[in-house]
Amino acid sequence: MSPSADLKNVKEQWEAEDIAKTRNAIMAKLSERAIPSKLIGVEEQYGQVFDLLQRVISLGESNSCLLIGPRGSGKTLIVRKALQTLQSMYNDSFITIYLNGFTLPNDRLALREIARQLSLEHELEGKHSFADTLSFVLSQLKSGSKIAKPIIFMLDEFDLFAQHSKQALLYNLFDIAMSNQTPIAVVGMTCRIDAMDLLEKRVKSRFSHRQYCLFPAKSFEIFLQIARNSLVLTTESDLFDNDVFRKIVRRIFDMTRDIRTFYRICFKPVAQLSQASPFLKASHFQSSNEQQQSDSRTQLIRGLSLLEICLLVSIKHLLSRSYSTFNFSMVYDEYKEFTFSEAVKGVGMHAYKWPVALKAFEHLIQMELVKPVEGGMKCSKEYRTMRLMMEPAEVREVVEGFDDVPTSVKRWVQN
Amino acid sequence: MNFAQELALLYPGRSSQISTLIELIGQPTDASPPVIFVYGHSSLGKTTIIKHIFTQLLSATHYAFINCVERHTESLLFEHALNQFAGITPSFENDFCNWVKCGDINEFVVRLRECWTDDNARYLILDRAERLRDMSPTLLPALLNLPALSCKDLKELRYLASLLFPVYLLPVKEGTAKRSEHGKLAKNIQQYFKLAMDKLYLRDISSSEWIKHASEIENNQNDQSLTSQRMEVPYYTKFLLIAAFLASYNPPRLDQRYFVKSNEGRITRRKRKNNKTAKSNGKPRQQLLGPKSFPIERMLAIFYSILPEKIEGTVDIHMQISSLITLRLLIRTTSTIERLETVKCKTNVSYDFIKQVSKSVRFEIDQYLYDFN
Repeated sequence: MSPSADLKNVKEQWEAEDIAKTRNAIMAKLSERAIPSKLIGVEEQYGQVFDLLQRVISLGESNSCLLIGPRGSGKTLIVRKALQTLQSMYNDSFITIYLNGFTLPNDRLALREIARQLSLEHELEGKHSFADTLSFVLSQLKSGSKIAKPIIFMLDEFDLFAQHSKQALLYNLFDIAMSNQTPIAVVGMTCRIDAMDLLEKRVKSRFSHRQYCLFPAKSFEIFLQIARNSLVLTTESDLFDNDVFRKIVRRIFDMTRDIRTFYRICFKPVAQLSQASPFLKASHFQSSNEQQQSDSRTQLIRGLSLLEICLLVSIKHLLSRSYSTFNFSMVYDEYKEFTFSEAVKGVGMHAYKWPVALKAFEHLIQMELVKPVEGGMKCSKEYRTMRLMMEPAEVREVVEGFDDVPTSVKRWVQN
Repeated sequence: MNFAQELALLYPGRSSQISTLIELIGQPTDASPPVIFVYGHSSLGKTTIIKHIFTQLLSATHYAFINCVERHTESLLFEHALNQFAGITPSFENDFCNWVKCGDINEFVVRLRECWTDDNARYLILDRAERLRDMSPTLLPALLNLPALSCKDLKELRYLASLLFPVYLLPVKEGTAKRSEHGKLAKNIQQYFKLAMDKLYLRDISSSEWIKHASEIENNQNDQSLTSQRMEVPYYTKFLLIAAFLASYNPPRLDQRYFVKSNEGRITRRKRKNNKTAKSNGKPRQQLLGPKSFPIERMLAIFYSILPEKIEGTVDIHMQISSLITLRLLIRTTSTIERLETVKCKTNVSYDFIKQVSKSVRFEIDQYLYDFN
């Protein structure tokens, strides 16, 4: 499965099955389904979290902590990795409950989800009110009758749980952790640096105030290592010595430091692996990178019809005359003036009628290149005040770089 | 020939997008990128191609195709998707029941796991995904880009081509031109094309009407009946409409100058001067800003002033005003409970329309409009 250097020389033809396996293995890493075998750049935080969780399981010490870091910095990964290791060490002697703030908009649903993950769903039947459910789940948690095992709560998007009314769930979870009834660990994950300030006083005082901060890759070398770790199955690969490839990665590092942006350009080259080209190629990365970097709006404008482009240029001229907003009739007036002046010069451009231009204008609205001003007066659509959703200079740039536009329009956009 | 090449033949100009999509999806058991975002102008074939690829590559329960316009709430969306994953179609046999009731995203995730019977990847295809923004903010998926080749609106082009092609062929059939004389044929079609662009693009007339119209066009070059929808209203009502139009677009301070009959001589002189000053100050003309609302009293005053003869009684006039409001030729800008005398209105007709109305009652509206062209 792993294409190493000497195999490369011996084996000319790769089996289709091998290619598919390789492709799947890399894809799983890129889509963050598989946990990589080693962590890079977050070893210290991993050690702390692992230690905390291990104490809960082995010693029954309840605890709580909060992981803070931007998206893609590896918060969830750390906890998943720690749980995976603990699973292999302690088998099934603990229970994990995973709650995500995005899918659980209130505490009632969160409680039902907890009960479901504890397989207590059926005993909840008939208990519809929030108070009933809460008291039942709490009694189960506190008594430890059914579940004497330690429980690890993972709260993804922790800040969203803090926005639930009265923070009842957080209060109760931290309360159990404080009072040492059933051994539980509460691990919150958030990308909000002020997540602590969201907590009410009574909730805050029950929290252990353990915070671990994660940062995106500190140096380019680390970033490159993470990329290599997720993309390459063996240690040997000439891809990372390729200048073109390094340049692409460098650019992403300089722009965002977000490893997921890098993953995004990897999908296509990995999907292209086949028997004909069994190795990742820098040229594939380059084309994929160009595709992903391209500005969608510029691409969309390139698909506009000539009339729609003329309307955009009219808008640009209106804006250059210190109007900040405009309506269709003003735009059409500008457009008419242009076609009229062209007709005088003898070039002759077919001037579209008012309703035709209005339909084209509506298409611009539909594309959201032009948007109605909020709170505008109620009036017919020709006179509704609008705002351009792009920079006037952008219009000029696009029109000038467009081969299909007649020279008269190009000249028009320049003055 | 493999599947990608077959599809590329069916959908010309899309071969790179098709092969990319097929590569990304791979085999049913393969891992695939979490999100694929397909974008482009309308009628480029996004929906058609994706539907085609998925129906050919995957079995019906491995993907759910959802139009976000049809399924405009979260529960509709979830239930419809789950039906498709579970392979259930609401029909007479099952009392048109959905597979499960599902109102929130958490339930959706749970149910989704329930119908995950094998290791194959599942795809949720959301057509018109921009509508997702109207739903809860946590629903929006992360977006991925796939640049689209640009191309003009094919629906319009196909619509036009299907209607114009018979006309294009006409000279060939009649024997006045040969099949190879493209230039001659193109010249012949040009007049139709220009007309069709204006008429058919707006769907002003239906395609059948157009076919009828095209056969008549040679006999009657400037056909009036098609250039505007006519509206027949009584004689006095036409003047009411004109008065409303004037009141909407002229500034009230100039009313005295335009409508006090004794000093007509001054109008033209002043008007010219005003046109100049209007250009220099920065505000756009009222014509471009749209109609302003006015009190009914002002409109009535203008109405009586522009009428060529005197009329008596106001009851009928008031009835006409309210019928104009019902016809939406006048728009009420104040609340509906008020009495008619105190109501404020504005006109809802275009300049071209009012010009025709004025022409039919021989009223020269251009002389009374301030700063118009």
